[in-house]
Amino acid sequence: MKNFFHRLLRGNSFAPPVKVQNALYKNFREPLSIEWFSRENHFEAIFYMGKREYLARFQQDGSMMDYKINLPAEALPEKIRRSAGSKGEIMNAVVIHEGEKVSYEIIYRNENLERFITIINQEGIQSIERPL
Amino acid sequence: MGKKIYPELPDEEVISRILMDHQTELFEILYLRYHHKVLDKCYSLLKNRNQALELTEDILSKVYEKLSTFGKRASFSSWLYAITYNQCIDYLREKKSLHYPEWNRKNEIPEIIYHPEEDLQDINYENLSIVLDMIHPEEKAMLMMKYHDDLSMKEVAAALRISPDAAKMRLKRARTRVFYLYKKKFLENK
Repeated sequence: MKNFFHRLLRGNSFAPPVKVQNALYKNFREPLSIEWFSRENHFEAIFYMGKREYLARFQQDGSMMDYKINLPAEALPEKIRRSAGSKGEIMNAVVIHEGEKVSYEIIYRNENLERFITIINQEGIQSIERPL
Repeated sequence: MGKKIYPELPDEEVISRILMDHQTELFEILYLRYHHKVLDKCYSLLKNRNQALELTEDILSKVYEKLSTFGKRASFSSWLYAITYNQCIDYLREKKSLHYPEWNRKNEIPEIIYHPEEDLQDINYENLSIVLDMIHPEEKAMLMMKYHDDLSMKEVAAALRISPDAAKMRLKRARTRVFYLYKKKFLENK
């Protein structure tokens, strides 16, 4: 149990190359409580800005691949909330920024409490949907 | 003639003998080996011994039925614990109508602790246990899956039925909430 608490407290203590760390500060103003992870061929930072959780991915050379923000359902644009809400109750929402492209990953549940994940573009049009 | 006992057989060998040689009675080894661990996890989330016992039996029955789907990608224990947490969370969502988004809305984290190891020095583990029981069971489950049972984020996400990236961000929130509550309850006004 002590090991569990120790690991919970410590989190992930990895540090990527300086140019990748600098890229985070270049792209985000005042990121806080940053945790870095090394993935297959890129680096991932999970951090806070304001009260929101962010996840940003960087290539080895420091170029940013994309970033995601965890959003409460009420923070979704009206068009997106309506599109997702028509399918069921929104249980989780993430906005995805990839270059100029913005999309939304929504998890909703139907009246039978079955969960689905869907990707919705800025126009409110669904592209992918599958059960979870 | 007494029953043969195989106390030293590794989990994967037991499973192999059950599936290949149809020695189904060997499932008892896994049952006895893991019953109390599964029960502990169920109880830590459900907080009701009878319900935890019942769910433990359901989980072990389900594991027996699904044994042929154990892909050996992870250890048997990881696979078992992933199923355990998934069943607990489904149970809580359905029977106890626990609604995480609503609870999260009502329990915003007012302060982000940036350096928990510095801000929460001399942390008392007994107090940390108390704080873990103050957070939503889904958040507690995530922390246990990741930091106690070392499940992958893919397994954590599957147990909660969210995407891996959503799980990573939610895990961040769960940790942050624990640090905030610990500081508020045990360190402020000290």
